[in-house]
Amino acid sequence: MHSPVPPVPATAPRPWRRRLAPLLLSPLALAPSPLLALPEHPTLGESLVYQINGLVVVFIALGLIWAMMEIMGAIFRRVAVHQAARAAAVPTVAAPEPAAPAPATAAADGVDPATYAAIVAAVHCTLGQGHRIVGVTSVIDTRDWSREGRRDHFFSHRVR
Amino acid sequence: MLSGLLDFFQTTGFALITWKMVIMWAVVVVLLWLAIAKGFEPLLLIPIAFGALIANLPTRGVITAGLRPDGVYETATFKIEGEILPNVSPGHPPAGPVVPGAPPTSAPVRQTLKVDRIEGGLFDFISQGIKLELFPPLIFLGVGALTDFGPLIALPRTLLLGAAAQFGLFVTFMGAGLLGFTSKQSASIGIIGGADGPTAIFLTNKLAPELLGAVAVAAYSYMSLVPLIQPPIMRLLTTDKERRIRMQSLRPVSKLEKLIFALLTMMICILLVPDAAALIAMLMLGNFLRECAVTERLVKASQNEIINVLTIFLGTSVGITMAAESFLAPSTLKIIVLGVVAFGFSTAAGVLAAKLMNVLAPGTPINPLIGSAGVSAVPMAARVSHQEGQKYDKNNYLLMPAMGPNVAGVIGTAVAAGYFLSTLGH
Repeated sequence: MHSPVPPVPATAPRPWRRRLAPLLLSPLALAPSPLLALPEHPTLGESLVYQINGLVVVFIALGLIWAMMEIMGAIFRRVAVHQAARAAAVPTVAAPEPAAPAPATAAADGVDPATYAAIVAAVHCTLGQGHRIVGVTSVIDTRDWSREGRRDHFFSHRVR
Repeated sequence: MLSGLLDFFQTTGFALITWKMVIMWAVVVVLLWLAIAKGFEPLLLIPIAFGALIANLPTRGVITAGLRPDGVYETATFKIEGEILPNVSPGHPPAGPVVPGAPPTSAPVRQTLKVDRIEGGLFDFISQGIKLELFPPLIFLGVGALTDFGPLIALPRTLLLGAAAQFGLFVTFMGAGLLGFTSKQSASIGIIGGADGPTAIFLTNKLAPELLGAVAVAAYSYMSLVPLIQPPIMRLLTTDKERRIRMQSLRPVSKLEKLIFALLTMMICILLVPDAAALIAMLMLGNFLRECAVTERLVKASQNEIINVLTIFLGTSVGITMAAESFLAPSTLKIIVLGVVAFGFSTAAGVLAAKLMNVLAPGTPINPLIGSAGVSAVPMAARVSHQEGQKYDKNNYLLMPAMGPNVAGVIGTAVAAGYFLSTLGH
């Protein structure tokens, strides 16, 4: 036996909400409002209103994205200017890599100081300051290239 | 012996050829000629033409089609044979005959269907990718992975050109209504002006599937004819001085900006027109994969294998809908004419919007030739803008500025499709 479900008292929306809802919320609502509903064969007037509504929706969507991109662009440009100003303030003579191994150690591994300097410069240009060179060794007559290929393959699978 | 041969002849396909099929073969030849000899959108027109040829041959085991009681020629239907089992679960009483006078039960009746056999042809199943709205969003995944939104982010006001170029959609909507099409059919025809094939297919399949073949062929044909349709309109609406306007070089756009753009654009568009969610979400997913730079394999798959395979299936599935019974109708001719009207108005609206922006903001002028790129035939429309610009100033490089409205057009067309769906599709 089913117990009767008591009717839910309908709360009438306030007059101002009733008036504004089709204007403000219709493009956002999941179900179309009567303002946007269109008969199968609309009149010219209905068709015109429908078109204008559609163009307004498209302009609102792309206009919002435009506004968002302008704000974001302004923030990013400001950050870039700030970073450029900070970079200009740093002395032109770059500090040596603090954590880099001593040239003597590198020389002891068979790498001459000039090559070592070129490697350090290349790593610095590529990775910036957040790195540490733990060693430089010659790869001649070793299997390091095949190991590198295997490492790259594993890395592509996110194993490590 | 003769009667035996005649009996055999009745079993062959020759006996089933109709004059309408022969006309469609001629249409197929034209499409193949456009694709192969003229190089117009061959990646799409060849699968479409091939599908159309298959649809207009007396095949067996390829496609099931027939006239519905309401007169619509429906393709890609398959048969499921099964047995409805009595449901004996305690929560759901077995379904039985309705007893007159018995009180109606509010509990939903659940029944189990035991499927014995599914019968259908190859394209009955492949075409479900269109019917179930799978192919267009998945193609958008690839489009997103191939699209660089950098020019748009660097010059975001060109978004308005992409919005203005949707004007043709709505004008054509009214024109189609005047020619006797219903609202849903008019929306499906109007979307041709967006020059976005997957979106046109997505919308038409939902609103007016009976027009799918004609709309898709018109959309892709006109997309391939962009270099012929747009330049006269562009020249008509611009002065020699305007065509020589040089635009500022675009600022570099960081990876973080591109990532934020993909996320926020998706959220704004989906919040505004939830019915376009499938298209926008997949477009931005593809773009996010591309820009985050840590999913190289997924990006490569989206840019190549996924989009290529789906293009074959989408093209042939669209072609399959071009059976003579549905395609050789007066409505097809009207759609072809309305399609070019939509394209023309969209192009003109984009160019005029750029001119209006120059009036409102003369300090940073925009070359009006890039306005025509607001139709979303990416990247062909942008290339046309660039080539037209170079005819008047060989050192004017409009390609990158034109890519802004071009990709904005993709978003704009998807939003317009969402508007049509949310207002007509329920």
